Amino acid sequence: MILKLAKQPQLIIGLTFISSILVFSFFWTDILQVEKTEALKLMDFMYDDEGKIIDHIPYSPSEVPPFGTDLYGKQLFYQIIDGAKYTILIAFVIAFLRIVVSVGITLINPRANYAFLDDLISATLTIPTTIIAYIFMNTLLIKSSMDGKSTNELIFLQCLVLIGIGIPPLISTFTREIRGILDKDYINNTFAIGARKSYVYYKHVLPELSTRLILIFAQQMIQVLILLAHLGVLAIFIGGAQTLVLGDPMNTVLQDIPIAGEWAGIIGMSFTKLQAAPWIILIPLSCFAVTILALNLIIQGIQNSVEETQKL
Amino acid sequence: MNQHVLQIKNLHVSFNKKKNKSIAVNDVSLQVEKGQTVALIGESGSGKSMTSLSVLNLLPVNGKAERGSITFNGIDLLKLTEKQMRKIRGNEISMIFQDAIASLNPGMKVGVQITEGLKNHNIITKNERKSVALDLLDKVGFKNPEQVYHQYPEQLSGGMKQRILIAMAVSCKPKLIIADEPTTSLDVTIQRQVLDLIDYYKSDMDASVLLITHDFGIVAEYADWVYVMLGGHIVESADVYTIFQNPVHPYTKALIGSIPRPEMEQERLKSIQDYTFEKDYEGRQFAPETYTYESSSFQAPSSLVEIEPLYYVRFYDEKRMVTTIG
Ligand SMILES: Nc1ncnc2c1ncn2[C@@H]1O[C@H](COP(=O)(O)OP(=O)(O)O)[C@@H](O)[C@H]1O
Ligand SMILES: [Mg+2]
Repeated sequence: MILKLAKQPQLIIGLTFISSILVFSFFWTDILQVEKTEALKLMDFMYDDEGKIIDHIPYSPSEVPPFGTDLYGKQLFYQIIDGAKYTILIAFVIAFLRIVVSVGITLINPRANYAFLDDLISATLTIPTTIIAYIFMNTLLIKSSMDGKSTNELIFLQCLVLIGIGIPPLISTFTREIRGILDKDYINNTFAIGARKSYVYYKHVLPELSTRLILIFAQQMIQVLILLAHLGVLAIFIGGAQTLVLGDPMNTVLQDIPIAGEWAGIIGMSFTKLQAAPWIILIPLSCFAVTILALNLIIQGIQNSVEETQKL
Repeated sequence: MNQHVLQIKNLHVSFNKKKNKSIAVNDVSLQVEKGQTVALIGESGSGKSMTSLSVLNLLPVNGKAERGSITFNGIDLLKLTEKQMRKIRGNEISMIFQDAIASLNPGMKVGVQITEGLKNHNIITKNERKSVALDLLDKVGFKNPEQVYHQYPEQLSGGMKQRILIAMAVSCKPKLIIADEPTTSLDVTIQRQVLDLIDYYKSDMDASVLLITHDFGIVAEYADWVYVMLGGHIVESADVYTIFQNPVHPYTKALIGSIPRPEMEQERLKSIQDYTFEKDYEGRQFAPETYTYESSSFQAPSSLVEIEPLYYVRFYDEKRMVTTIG
C-alpha cells in the first residue's frame, strides 16, 4: 500500500508541499536568520535619506517585497509564514476530530436508522455551511465577550462549532460505508467464531475503511480551510481579536488585531479595506487556494493508486 | 439413552420486510446426538441456513427467531445474552459457510485469520499464534504450512480456502460443527476431501455435525440421520437407511430420484417439479402439495406424523379435497 502510494507523483508533490510549508512555518526565524519580534513589528512611516516622510502604511508588495504589509504595518510575508502552521494545524485537528467523532458515533450502533439525520442534511443542503457556521460563531463571539471568556475557552468553543457542523453528513456517510462492510460474509464468519464486536471493528472494519478514511480526511481538511477562509472574509476567525490602542494619545484609534496568527484572521482584519489594499486579502486567500490545491493533489494521488489496485 | 447435543424445538424464524412479515422457518424441530452427523436437506430457499444461523444467533438483522427453543447441552441458546452467546460461538459450536471466497477477509493473512477464534476466546497468547496456526494448517492437509501462513486468501484455490475455513472452525475444538453447504462452491473432485476432513474431525474429537446440503448423494455417504426441509417445514425425517430404502414423502422421493447415478441416466434428468405427488397416505394427504409457498394450500395446517417409530412425515391436518395441480 505505502509502496504503491509512493509511486503517485501528485501525492508526493502535495505531501512535499504541505510538509515544507509546515517546516518553514515552524523554523522560519532560523531559516531566514531573523528575529521574530523584529520581523513582525509594526512598521511606521517610510523616510528618505534626509529624514523626510515619503510614504505611510500600508505598504504594497512593490514597496515592501515580497508581500507588502497589512493595514498596521506588519509584514505580510512573515505573517503568512508564521500563520501557516496555525492554519494547517487547525484544519488538521478539526478534520481529524470530525472523523474520529463521527466514526465513533457510527460504530456505537451501525444499524441505527438516523432517518432524522438525512432529513436534517437535505434540509440544510440549500444553506451554505458558511452561513450556518457564521450564525453559530457570531453568537459565540458576542456571548463570550459578554461573559468575559478567556481566549483559550473561546478557541475551544469555536473548534467545537467547526467540528460539530461537519459531523451529521459524516455520520450518514460512515453509516453507509460501515454497513456495507458489516454485510460482508467474512464479517459473519468472524462473528461465528466468537469474535468480539470491538475486535471485528478494529481488525476488519477499520482496515477495510482506512483508504476511505484518509480520502475523507483530506476532503474534510479542504472543507475546513474553505470554511475558515469564508469566515475570515466575514471577519470571524479562531481566537477572535484583541483590541489595540493605536495612534497618538490625543487621537486614539481602537483597532482589532487577531490573536491567533492564522490566515483567516489576516483576511478578517482587512476585508473592509479591500479596495485600498487588495493584496492584504488576495495574498492570504491565494495561500488558502494553494494549500487546498496541494490537498487535492494528495486526494488525486490516493484515488489513482486505489484505482490501479482495483484494476489488477 | 442417547444424549442430545443440539435440540431444536418448534423454531419459527420470520423476517420483517417493510411491514409485511415473511416466515422463513416454520415450526422446525430437530435433534443432533453425540457423535452423529445429521443432514438437513432441501432445495435452495427452504430455510436451512436460517435454521442453522438461529443456533448461533447470527440471523440477518431483520430476521428473528420467534418461538421455540434451541437447546445445546442443556442450555437454551435463545435465552442467552450476547456475551454468553459469544463464548459459545466457535468455542462450542462453530460454523463452516458455503462461500469460502467471501468468508475470508481478502486483506488479512491466512495465518492471522485462522487463529482469530483462539485469540478471541483467549486460548492462545500472541507468541503461540504462529506455531498453533502452522499446526492447524498441517491438520487440514496443507503440505507447506509455513508458506500458506503468510499468504492472502486470493493466493489460494477454492478448495484450499474451504480447508482454511475448516481450520478456523475446528481451531477451538467445538463439540458441534454446523456445515452450511460446505462443498456447493467446489469441484466435485474436491468435495470429498472437504467432507472427509469434517468427518475425520468429528470422529477424532467425538463431536457432532449438522450438515446442510441439497445433495442426497452427500447425505447417503456421510449422514446418520436426515431431515428433509421444504418451504420452512420439515416434511420428512428418519435415519438415513430407512429413508433411502423407503422414502415416503413425494418431495423426498423426488430428491432421492435426482441423485446422479451413471446407470440411471433417465432418472438423473428428472427434476423435482416434474414429480406428481402421491395423493394419499392412510386417507390423508401429504403436505405440502405444491411448490408455491404463497398458495393457501401450501400454508394450510399440517403436522408431522410418526408413521413408524422415529420416522416422521408431514400430512395436512384435515382431510382435504384433492386439488389437481398443473
Ligand atoms: N435477509 C433476508 N431478508 C428477508 N428474507 C430472507 C433473508 N434471508 C433469507 N430470507 C428468506 O428466508 C428463506 C430461507 O432462506 P435460507 O435459510 O437462506 O434458505 P436455504 O439456506 O435453505 O437456501 C428464503 O426463502 C428467503 O426468502
Ligand atoms: Mg443456504
